Amino acid sequence: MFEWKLIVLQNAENVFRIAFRILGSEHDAEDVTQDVFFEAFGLAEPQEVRDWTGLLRRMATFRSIDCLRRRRPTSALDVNLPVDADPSSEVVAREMSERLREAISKLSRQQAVVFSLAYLESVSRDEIAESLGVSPASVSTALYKARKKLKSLFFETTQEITNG
Amino acid sequence: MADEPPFASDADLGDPLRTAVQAIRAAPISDQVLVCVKEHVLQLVPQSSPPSLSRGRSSASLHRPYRTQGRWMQATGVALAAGLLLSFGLHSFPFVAPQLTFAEMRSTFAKQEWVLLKYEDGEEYWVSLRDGRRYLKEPSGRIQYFAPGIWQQYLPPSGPVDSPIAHWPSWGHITESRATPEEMRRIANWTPQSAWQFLMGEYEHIEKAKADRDHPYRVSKAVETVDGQELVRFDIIYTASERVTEGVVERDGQEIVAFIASSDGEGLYSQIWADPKTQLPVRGRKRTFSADGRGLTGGFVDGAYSFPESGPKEIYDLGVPRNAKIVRTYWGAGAAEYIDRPESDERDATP
Repeated sequence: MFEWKLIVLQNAENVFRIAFRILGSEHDAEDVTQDVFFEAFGLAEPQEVRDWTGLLRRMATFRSIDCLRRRRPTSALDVNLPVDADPSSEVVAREMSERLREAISKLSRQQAVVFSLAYLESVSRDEIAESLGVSPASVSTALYKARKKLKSLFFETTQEITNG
Repeated sequence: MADEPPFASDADLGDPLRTAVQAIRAAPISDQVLVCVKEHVLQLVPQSSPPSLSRGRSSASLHRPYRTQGRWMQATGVALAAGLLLSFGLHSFPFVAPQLTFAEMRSTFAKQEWVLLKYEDGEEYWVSLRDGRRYLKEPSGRIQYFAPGIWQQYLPPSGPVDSPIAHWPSWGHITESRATPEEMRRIANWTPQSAWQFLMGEYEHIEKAKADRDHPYRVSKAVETVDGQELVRFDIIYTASERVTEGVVERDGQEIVAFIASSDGEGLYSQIWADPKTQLPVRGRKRTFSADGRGLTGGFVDGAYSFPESGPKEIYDLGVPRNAKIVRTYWGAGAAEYIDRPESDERDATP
């Protein structure tokens, strides 16, 4: 039986998690989650959708990447870290997370989405390819380029953190 | 989630990229937040459900089949558990921080009858959220009324000399125009298309412009305690107020004239404080414009929102003298026609 409420209950948490990982802000993730479901509720033929989890995951990733790319480096972020973590490692983890998000925002949209799905959500190559409507080889290429660019961007920006 | 092992291995990342990826994946989210998110999204669910999924199975699908019967049963179990959590958990665990999104505020706002926004400089906006009628009372004494196809304004007999319409010949009268939207744009820089846009227009523009990453605005959100009350504050920040100047640059050993784009940097444009309990705005702050309306000044003006059940019925209710005549000016085919009407015609002028 098709029910919006069931779709929400099954997927809202995952949509929020995706947005939160990419954006690092509960407030922004909440807004993205709402935007995604608003968009889903507005679909002309929702009964045609047979993989809501995949569709919502893709929408959440794209909306979050778009939000990240619009964001300026000075945006306030509210990353939650474990309370029992070593304070110094907390700071490093937080800083590095933010630097990575900033670096992801500098990738092309497709590279950013592929990287996020592959590394933050552990989605398979075939699923990403199907979700984006591209070949698996294109996904591999995009991921290779994303890794290469991120390594370059990230290496430069994290030297100061890791060294001191 | 993936049906096969992830093809992206952390080993391919190398340090420090791997450490950063793992830090992002490990960042925890509290159960309370997740429950709250589900509850909020459930409130947005449309009332009427679309037809059964089974109808679409034989036709072209947007995505490949995903759920087997076993997974459906598992998912239903998860849903039931989540439902129980929603039923009992929300009462057991109070939320630590106020939760309110712009979408929720917009939705609650639209359900009100009237909104009144009073700025500390004396400006007063009345807007009907049912039919779009708007009244604006300015500190100068000018009072305006807007409705679809009608714009009335009253200028007190001793009008300000610096008014952009100081030449207007009808001080002490109510002038009425029936202008086309294009003509209205000549009167105001931006013509709102609804009561909501009248108050929240800048935010609407930003929402629509989200797809354009070059748009020079962004909205951020914060929780702030004001007079002992926890409110959610929405900020509009212009991030790249670009200007183009003419300058001389050297290229290939030659000096050439070029147009140079530069940024004025970031700055706060306006703010709205909303009460997460009522989901309605309570305070507003906006930048003030220069006298000619072409640029922002360095100042701000604060205002307070209220939501009365009823509002003015006509422009006279805002203090226009009852004996003020209606002067109709029709902008048909580009020609302005001035027609003096007796006071008895005022009833016809009120929609």
